[in-house]
Amino acid sequence: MISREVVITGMGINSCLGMNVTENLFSLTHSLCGIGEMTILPSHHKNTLPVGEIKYDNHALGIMTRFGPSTPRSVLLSALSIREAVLMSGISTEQVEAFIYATTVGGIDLSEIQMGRYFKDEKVDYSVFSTHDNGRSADILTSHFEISCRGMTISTACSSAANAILQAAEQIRRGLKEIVIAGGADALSLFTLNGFNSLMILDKSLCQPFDRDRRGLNLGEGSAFLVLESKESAQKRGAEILGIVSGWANTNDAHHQTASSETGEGAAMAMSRAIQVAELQPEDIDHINAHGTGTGNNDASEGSAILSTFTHVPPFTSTKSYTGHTLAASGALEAVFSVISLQQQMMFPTLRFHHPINENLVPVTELTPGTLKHILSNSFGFGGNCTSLIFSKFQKA
Amino acid sequence: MSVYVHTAHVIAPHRLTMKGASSGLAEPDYSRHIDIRQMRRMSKLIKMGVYSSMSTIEGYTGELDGIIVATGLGSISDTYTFMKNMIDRAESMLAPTAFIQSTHNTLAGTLGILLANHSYNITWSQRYLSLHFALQDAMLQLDTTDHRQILLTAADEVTDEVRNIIDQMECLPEGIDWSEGAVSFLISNQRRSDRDWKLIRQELIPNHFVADTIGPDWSDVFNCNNFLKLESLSPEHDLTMDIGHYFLTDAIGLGHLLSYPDVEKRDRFISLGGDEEHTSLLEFQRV
Amino acid sequence: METDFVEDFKQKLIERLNIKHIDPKDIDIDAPIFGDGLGLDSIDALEIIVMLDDEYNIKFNNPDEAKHVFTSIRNIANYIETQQK
Repeated sequence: MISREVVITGMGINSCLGMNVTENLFSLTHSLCGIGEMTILPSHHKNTLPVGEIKYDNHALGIMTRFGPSTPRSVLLSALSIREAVLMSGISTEQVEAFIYATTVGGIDLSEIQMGRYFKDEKVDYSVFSTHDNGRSADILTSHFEISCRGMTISTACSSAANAILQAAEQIRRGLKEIVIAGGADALSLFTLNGFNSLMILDKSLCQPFDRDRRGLNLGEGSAFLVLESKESAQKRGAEILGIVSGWANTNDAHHQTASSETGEGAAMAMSRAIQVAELQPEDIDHINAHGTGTGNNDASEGSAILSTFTHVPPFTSTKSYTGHTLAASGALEAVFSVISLQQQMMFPTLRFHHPINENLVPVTELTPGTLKHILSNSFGFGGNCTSLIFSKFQKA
Repeated sequence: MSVYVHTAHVIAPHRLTMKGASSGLAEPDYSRHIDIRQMRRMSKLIKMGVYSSMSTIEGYTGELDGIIVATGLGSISDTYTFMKNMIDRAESMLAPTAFIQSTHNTLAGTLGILLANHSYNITWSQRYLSLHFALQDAMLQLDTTDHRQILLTAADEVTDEVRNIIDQMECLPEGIDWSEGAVSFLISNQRRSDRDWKLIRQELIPNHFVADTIGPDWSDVFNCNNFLKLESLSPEHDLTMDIGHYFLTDAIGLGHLLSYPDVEKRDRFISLGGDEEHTSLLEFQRV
Repeated sequence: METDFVEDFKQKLIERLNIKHIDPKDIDIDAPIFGDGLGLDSIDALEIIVMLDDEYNIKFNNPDEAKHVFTSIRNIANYIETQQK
């Protein structure tokens, strides 16, 4: 059976830390948290819930991307990060053989405005609902970028983009595809903000992942995409290889719709299997970009899973302390952060950490240089979905 | 690598199985496969999805190496409920159940819990191509030397309130309603019996090439693509009117065909799905 | 003994949580409602918090605050009655 090496030749990102890789790197390096006051999303919770909001409204994003006014915010954000990834990779979009998208929000940010009018018996623009469903976003993007293959959308809550990258890696490893774009986006919406608020897992102050006194998560928004290729394809066209996707695994906790098991069984299985797929041992993992949302349940569960997977816990961090939880996009944002870490040989801190849950679970708390070859990135979600990815440094011959 | 479908179970409109019957959904007694205790939060989509999944794997005692779900709109009833609540109450004091049930991967997650299954679990949501990509992924998961089984379930629901909104969108042809239903398939990379169907071809073709791709012989071709007008296709082989129009017309059609008496006698059949641009062509052969 | 108030609260709870697997008269108002008893979970706790706000104007900020109250149906009903005095 064919087994090709899967490499990354382009990446693009936007989040409350910045609108491209360079800006995000700057914020990470200078401990600049992007979570703060809600100024664009028109929520009644404006003054109580901090969010990781991108400070461009849809009008501005539309101008930047040349999209019309009735374009979902997640699509606008995606367009920017896809553009960055494609430019960085040097490919032309005609070469793209698969486009794997991830979202939970889809076009709900526009639908909810119309539904507000609908329930108040005001005039509704029904055409807006045509962008509601998750798959439509991928179709809009493949059309916009003149990608000839049809997009495919994964929607597995907070592990969506990680699963998109996993799917791309599987297709490339088996020799089915040479060049794939994979990633995802979730913009802030009233629906998700209120949904998470109804679960009482939102922090009214800035979140503190892995801290004994953590109170919950902050929602964020953003998008990120990777251009993934077989190593042969990348080398043939002389592309710069930014990193390798060396391991991956998708498992299910099968415990509860929204809560992770106490032992983090599904998470431990995902991490172990990803390490196996990479043909590594646990001690080869130099750093973990944890899911680390800051909720009581996730951090305890993930912490247990890390302790059971690793005899010696590698340095780990939660970049959600910077960006908030970007839901479906988080796996892709954190993929980009992992590649940046490998490139810079630097680990970014978990902000605002003071007291550990367990003395063996102390995250990185300062910008820390390290010899980083393999980074594990976790994305766990509702529905018990657990996906772990391993990114490795590419050693030039 | 070969792909075999062992069993399938469909929940579909009456019209599909009983010509001349009403278009309403032919729902089973869900309690046959679902504990009443577990049903209380389940939307129609979840109930249909779970019921058809349990029916499909009934009697099967082996491992499941993956649970793959395809859905176009997810539990749209729960999305609507939470949305209405949020707007009516101006975002204050909202009950969480409808929100957590509205996420697209709720069905896959529920199946994982009910089957105590920790293996590969994913949800595809790509409109009229949802089944196509879910099936493509199933084939990927089965591409291994180990003996593997995948449960693939497709489900979409609609409510009167949602139908009302779709009507106002004016995106459907005259007299066509948005439909609903669920189907499950047990698929593996090893043959189990001579009742199996082997998937020998899966292609995505631009619609204007469909006629040329199929060639002169249309006797084994069945259409489940709402957007295709095929002159060479005999009317009884067009299932779209009886299934109804929605994102999973081809999934329901496929489930139906796999156990349809007329098809059971055949050595092969071709099922067409897809949208206004592309057709998903599936060709099956008797083992 | 079940007062009218407790009975009324029990009915409201059954309706809110869509409990159909057990006959209302078989529900033991003194049994624990979480875990093995009625089989409620953390999501139900949140639903009950919303219900208490909606129906009885009683507010809890989070499930932890309500833990000592949400033990049995009778206990919750008694708590509501004392709050309303």
